[in-house]
Amino acid sequence: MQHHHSNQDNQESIQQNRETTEGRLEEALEFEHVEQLLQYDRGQVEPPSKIHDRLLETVSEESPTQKRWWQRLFS
Amino acid sequence: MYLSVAVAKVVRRKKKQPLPADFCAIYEEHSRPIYYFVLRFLGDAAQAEDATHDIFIKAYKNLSRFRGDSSIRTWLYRIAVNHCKNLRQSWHSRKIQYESELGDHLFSDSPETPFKILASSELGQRIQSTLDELPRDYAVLLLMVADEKLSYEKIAELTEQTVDAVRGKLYRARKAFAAAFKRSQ
Repeated sequence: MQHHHSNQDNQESIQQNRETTEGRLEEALEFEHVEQLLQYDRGQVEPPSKIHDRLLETVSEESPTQKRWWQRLFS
Repeated sequence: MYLSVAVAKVVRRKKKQPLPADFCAIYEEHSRPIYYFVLRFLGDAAQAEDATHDIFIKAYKNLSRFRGDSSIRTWLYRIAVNHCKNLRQSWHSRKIQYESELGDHLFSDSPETPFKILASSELGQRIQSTLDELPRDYAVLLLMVADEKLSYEKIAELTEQTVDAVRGKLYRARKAFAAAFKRSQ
């Protein structure tokens, strides 16, 4: 029973800590202008690495092949 | 013999080559702002991934034609804006909002107050839904002006309007954003 109480106490303290932490974050994240808010948001967004991989693939597929003699002649 | 030649061709084609160094440098420097612009413009991560890939491929193909009249960043934004506008036009299922002076009264009384937010993963979603509420040209201007590398002059050039028009529209766009952001709380 006592154990249960201490667990409950712990949970309450974690909740309080979370609230305090979130409260601090709320204070920390205050932006005067839309631009600052968007800049912060942009900082959180990482382009997926898949884009780079797909670019590699596409560029490899589209890399210029050797021109035929008639293409070289007329280029 | 014929088969082995064909296989060799496929293998050669499938083998990934590294991105050319100059293009790689361009991607490293500009992919984040361009991806962010595309993501918030389209509002869909999967579409943004496809679109960013296509934008950089267009840039890659036309790199030799880039005359250097503008900065690479401005050039990439131009490709991005055109690409995204074309995509949105082709999405019949999505509601496309146009700027309407009539709609401005909804935002006219909203002061530009500081944005207090709780750090959470929902912030992005909230910004997205706020931008989605705005007329497209407001969203475009706000996203561009948030890029420190784009001056008002460059934004004016990209959006094909005068610098004064950009300033005026940005004023209304900021108010509209502030009002919509508050409503999203």
